Amino acid sequence: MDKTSMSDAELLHLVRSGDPSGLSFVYEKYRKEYFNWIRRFSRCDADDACEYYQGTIVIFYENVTNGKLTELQSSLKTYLFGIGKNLVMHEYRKSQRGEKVKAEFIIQSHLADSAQEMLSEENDLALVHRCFERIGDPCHRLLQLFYFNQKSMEEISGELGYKNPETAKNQKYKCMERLRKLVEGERPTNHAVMTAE
Amino acid sequence: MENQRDQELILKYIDRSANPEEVNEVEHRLTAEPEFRKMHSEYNQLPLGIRYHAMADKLDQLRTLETALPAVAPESGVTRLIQYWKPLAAAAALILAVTFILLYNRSESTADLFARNFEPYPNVFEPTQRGDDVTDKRASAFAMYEQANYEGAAAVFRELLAEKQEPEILLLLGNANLVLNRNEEAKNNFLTLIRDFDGLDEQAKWFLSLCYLKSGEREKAKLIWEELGDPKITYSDKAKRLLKEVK
Repeated sequence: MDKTSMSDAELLHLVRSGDPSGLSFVYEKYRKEYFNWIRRFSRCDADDACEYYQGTIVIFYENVTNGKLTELQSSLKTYLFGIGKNLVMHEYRKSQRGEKVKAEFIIQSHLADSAQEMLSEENDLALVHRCFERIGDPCHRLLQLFYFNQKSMEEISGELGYKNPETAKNQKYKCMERLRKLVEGERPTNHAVMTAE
Repeated sequence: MENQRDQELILKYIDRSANPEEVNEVEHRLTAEPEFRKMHSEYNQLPLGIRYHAMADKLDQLRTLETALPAVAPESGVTRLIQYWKPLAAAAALILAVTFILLYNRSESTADLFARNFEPYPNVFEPTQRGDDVTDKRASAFAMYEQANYEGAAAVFRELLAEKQEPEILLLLGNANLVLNRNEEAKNNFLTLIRDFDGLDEQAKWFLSLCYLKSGEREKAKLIWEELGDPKITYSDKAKRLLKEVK
């Protein structure tokens, strides 16, 4: 089906299905309008506009993938611009520090807010991110399905071919233990590098 | 030696699949056992990090896509005029009509709105009682603030903040700076208060919105009023009214 003729609901469905062309299409569709809008709205430059937009699209992607956004109450464009508005709102808290807008920080703040964690977790997020890259399958897939896609153990055991949900649950426990050890093993080295710098 | 039951218990707690008894046990042991607390904290960061990983991956893909797309040139005034000629024509007609009406019914300027809505926050933190010794630096600052000697109060509040950051003092110094037309310093006081402390967020946001109103940054002020519009918030009515008035 030609994406240009898709309704917002169909686009949402495409993004949820995991087809990467869906998110790329949404990204390109509203990019120009969003850039121009946010540059006027927050008086930022082109680089900041791009960072805001990428942060917005990634938050939208998470909301769709984890089932938080199943149905739009407004148009997709309004929804995306709404996220952008909230991000600008959040930025005024940081404006005193004179920081440039960075999509990574936008995502980290969003996650910290959603989990009601303090922002000091930021460094830990990057550390876990690096370790998680190295963990390999099946742990990588299993943990991502559980914590990012918010799938149940029943769904995961079906998707990854485990005998039953209990087996998947045991595997998840082992994977978490492995990831924890990777992260804790990385922490002192990290500290040594930072000290050396 | 780490105990497998403890690890499973912590994971159940983090995943919100623990039963009420298990929740009680975890919460009790978190306060009583440092080793248990350490293990909890090591596990607790993982789910957020996994979510961050998935989002950071997607961000990388978007960055790659972005490099392949043409740069977005800022819209010139002419481009926008062409794009929006129909709504602009309608807007022009509306402006003519509104101008006509305004000749008879002048709307309030930003400065008028600010003046009508700003009232310095009272010193409810350390009120001066008759007979108090106000030779003490701290007490004298609060006393000067109460007597509307904002210049004197601000000077001492700054000294006190240099020694120790305190939310109550930041709030009152921000107010004094607003009275004294030091808008930028006032903004910084309220932004610091919002960023670094929790207890006076609503007050800080309200006065920060008035800073924005005063400096003509209406969009930023409106964003805050939208946030303060929640009926549970003290400033809800004022925020809603201002939102209507500046629309």
